[in-house]
Amino acid sequence: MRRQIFSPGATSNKVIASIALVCAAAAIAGLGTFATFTSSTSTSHTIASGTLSLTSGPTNRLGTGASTIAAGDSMQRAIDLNYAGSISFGSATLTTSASASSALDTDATDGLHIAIDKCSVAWTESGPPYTYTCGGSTSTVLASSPVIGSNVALSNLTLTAGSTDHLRVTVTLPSTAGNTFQNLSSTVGYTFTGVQRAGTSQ
Amino acid sequence: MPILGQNERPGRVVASIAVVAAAGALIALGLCAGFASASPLGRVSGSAHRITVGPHALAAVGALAPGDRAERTLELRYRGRFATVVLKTATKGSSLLRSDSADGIRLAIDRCAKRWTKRRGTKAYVCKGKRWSVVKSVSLAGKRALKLNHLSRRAGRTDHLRLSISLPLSAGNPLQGQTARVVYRLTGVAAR
Repeated sequence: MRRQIFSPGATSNKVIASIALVCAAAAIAGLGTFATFTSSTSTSHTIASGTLSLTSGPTNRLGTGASTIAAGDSMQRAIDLNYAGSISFGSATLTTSASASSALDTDATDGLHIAIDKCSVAWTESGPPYTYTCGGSTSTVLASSPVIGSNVALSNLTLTAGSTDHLRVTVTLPSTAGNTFQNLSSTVGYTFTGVQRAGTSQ
Repeated sequence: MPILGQNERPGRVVASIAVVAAAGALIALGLCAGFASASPLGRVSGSAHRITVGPHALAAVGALAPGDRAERTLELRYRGRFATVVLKTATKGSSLLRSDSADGIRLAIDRCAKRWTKRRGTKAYVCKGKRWSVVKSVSLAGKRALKLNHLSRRAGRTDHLRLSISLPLSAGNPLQGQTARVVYRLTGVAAR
């Protein structure tokens, strides 16, 4: 059997190589120690977005129609607008459309006109036919204009979160409406839209 | 000249490795000891290098509307010197405020050389000294770490920070009524 002979030189080379490897490993371990030397701290809080909610009621007579109106007649209907969310509104608009249409709503001159007033307290109702009186102060929300309009700006509304505006909608058939307006019918839908207030620092 | 037999060699080599390993261990220990002696407090990393933030609980931000901005102030203190500080945010629970990268909440951080002071009659803070932008407005969506710029990071110093949380104007109705509990975790990497 052949005996392999290892010279002392070969052994020392291996030992040196081993030392080098171990030193490298130790150095890497040292670097690792530096790299993971950290400290952490934390803080927290809750962030919540608000809500914007426009609702009607408890008073809402807008769904009550009127029939056999004559030129010069007007109809009054009350509606409460509630700013029910946690965010106040910056503005509100009214869009009206006719699902069943006639000259009553298409004739901007002699057709139906709409006006809106606001009372600082709830309107006092009498009728039917409904009429309203204000026990507080009144202000004009919308001056008389053709009944059909898109994104018509409303004025003098409170718009504050948690508050209610008491509105009276008056729809009038002008006295200038001629015979061609007899026996017509229109169904008008009202959509109130509110936009949030401007951004602020909270 | 002595001749090493096969039976003898492995024992010698193993012994050599053992010695070298022991030397390596000593070298490694030496490195550690050297590191500790360079910074006496460095032996215990937690006590040598520490960042702390106050307050631990920030005031809640409620009823944010698109375009709103809420400001909160923080004091970041250093024990030891730090090379970098990074911020990671986490949210407890799911919320579009956090997950919507386009319209969800955004965060910006500024540093003031002096304490931030509240502007009279508002909820905003103003800096009556030099001011730096630490983090420009970023979405809180995702889990990336944000490197904080322009901090002092020096031992014994306090950085006066202001967090600005905003909800973009582009945020639509789906983001109404959302709540997120945001945890801000600041991690400092010690300077060598």
